[in-house]
Amino acid sequence: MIEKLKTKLTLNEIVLSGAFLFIFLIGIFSNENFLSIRNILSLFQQMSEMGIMAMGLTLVIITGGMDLSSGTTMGLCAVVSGLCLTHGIGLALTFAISLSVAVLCGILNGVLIAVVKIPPMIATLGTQMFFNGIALALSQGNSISGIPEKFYFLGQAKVAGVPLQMILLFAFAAILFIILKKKVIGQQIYSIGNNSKASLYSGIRTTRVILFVYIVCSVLCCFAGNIQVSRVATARADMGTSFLMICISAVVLGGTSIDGGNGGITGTVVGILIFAMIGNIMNLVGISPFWQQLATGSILVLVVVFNKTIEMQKYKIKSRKV
Amino acid sequence: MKKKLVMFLTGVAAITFGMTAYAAGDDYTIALISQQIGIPYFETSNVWGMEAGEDLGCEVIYTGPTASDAASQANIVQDMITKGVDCIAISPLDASAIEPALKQAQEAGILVITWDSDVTDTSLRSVYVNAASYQTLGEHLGERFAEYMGGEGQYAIITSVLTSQANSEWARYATEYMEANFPDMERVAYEPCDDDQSKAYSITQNLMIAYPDLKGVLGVTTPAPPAAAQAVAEAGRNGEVVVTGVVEASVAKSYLEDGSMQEANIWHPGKLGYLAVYTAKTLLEGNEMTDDMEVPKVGTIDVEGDQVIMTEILDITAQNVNEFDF
Repeated sequence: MIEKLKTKLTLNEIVLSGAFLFIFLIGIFSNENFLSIRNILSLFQQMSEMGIMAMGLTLVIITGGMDLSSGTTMGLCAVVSGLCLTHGIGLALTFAISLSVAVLCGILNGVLIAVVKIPPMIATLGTQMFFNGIALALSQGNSISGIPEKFYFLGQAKVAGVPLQMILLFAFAAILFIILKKKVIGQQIYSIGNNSKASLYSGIRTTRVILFVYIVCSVLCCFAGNIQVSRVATARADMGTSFLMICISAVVLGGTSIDGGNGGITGTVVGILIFAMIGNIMNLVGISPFWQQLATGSILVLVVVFNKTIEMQKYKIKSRKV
Repeated sequence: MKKKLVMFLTGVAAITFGMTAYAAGDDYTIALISQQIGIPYFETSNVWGMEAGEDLGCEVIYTGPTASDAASQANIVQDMITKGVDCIAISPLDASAIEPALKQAQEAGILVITWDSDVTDTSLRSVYVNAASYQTLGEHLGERFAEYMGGEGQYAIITSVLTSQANSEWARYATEYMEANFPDMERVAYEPCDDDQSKAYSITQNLMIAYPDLKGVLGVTTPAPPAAAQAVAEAGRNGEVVVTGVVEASVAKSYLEDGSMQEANIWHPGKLGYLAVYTAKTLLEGNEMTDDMEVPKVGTIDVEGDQVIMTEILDITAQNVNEFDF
């Protein structure tokens, strides 16, 4: 079993790295600016928000869950931060308030799913609209501008030439990687995804783990929201809403099974990077964004089909042997 | 499997190289960035913008977000800076969210102009290519509306939100025009519909009940006229209650044809795109746009301060609605 799992993961990684390299090469050959430091850094700056959100979703999806409210959680946190900042509240307090809102969102999702036992899709579909509603009501549908300049550091500052959010992205990736691979709770997350009933009977406090996962996801969305507010110096209720589907796609592209139980953070980061590169290359070459969606869609379908075919072939060979 | 993969790889590589080859050439590169691609209004700007590029001998890249997402528009601006375009002509989706990106463009020495809508901090762009001044459009709306009303009777105006500067100014100039020229006309209501078509619909229904003698509804925001026309048609009062206002031809078409809306007044989004590219090219060459200048395919333009104004407003009725593709 472990042997089989290992080979499967490696195959997935091969396909993913292949796709990554392929697009990277296209980038190099199609535009001389692609490989410039400036472009690489701005690429990471652009993908950080999406990457951070997708990492949170990865945890949720590994448990066999789904968080459709992640995009609107991001919008809500963005609006809350925007309102705090424009009403003269200090940076530290603003972050605290925004993070508390995120934690509350996560708890609400977690309770609905783990305690009330509503299927994750339905529960988060409801909270998705709920959070968006609050964000719209708070902002009255307007965009909040006039964010104080001291807040710009989060999305516009550079540390030793590297955008701050890129550092955050890798820091979060490292932390989540360690949690998933080295910590007990990481193993519990995988085991719930594989079989939540068996996990419960084997003594895992599934409710706690699920709550933890949804809170982490919301908190990461909150970071993504604040980074975006800082980057564009504006807060809007619709921030993040267009991220949801791309993030889910990236998680799947990264090799995390939508049924839960396997996958990881590295794959998700590569997945987001692939999508970001496609957009970037097309913009640099000057191809209409319509094709961008087509390319993104085909890569996703191709990689998933490729994975599945390999898996099926292996299965066939094995069963023949038996 | 392997064979297929190789074929796919070759195909994509060929397309990419093809595109690169295509992108080369021409002197100036102008990025024409809209608020959202794939909607008729901006696609018309796209077609005309491209035509301007061909006419003037410069390369035009038309792009924009695929969804109404202000942050992704900022990403596009960043990528255009990296690409090294000479001019960014943008219709900002959000007047302030685009500013950090435009600042970067300015720092990179790229000419920035706005078209269709403007940014809050006007120091970030050289000129704003505007469809019509508030006064011109407002008075034109009032004039056309009053003509259908016969210069008398009660009327209502539906606007977007009370804080929207453009819509409020249009409504103000329209009202002032009618007050000055048609003393028998009386404005009984001025309602915001939050740019929500269903809200504009119920506002019109309520108004017709509250004011049985209501003779007309003027919509100064695009969702309002079709909604008002729908309400009027359902009440079976086509023609009795006049509906005109700012709305795109493609949206107005069915209402104009069934007689529930009399006229749609709007500028030509294609000419606006053409003018944006024309202005960009002129400024890149170090020349200036001057007042009363004759721009081919667009017409005579006005220049007021740092605004280039197109001025021409279309009167779209059931007779000519098929001539417009936006």
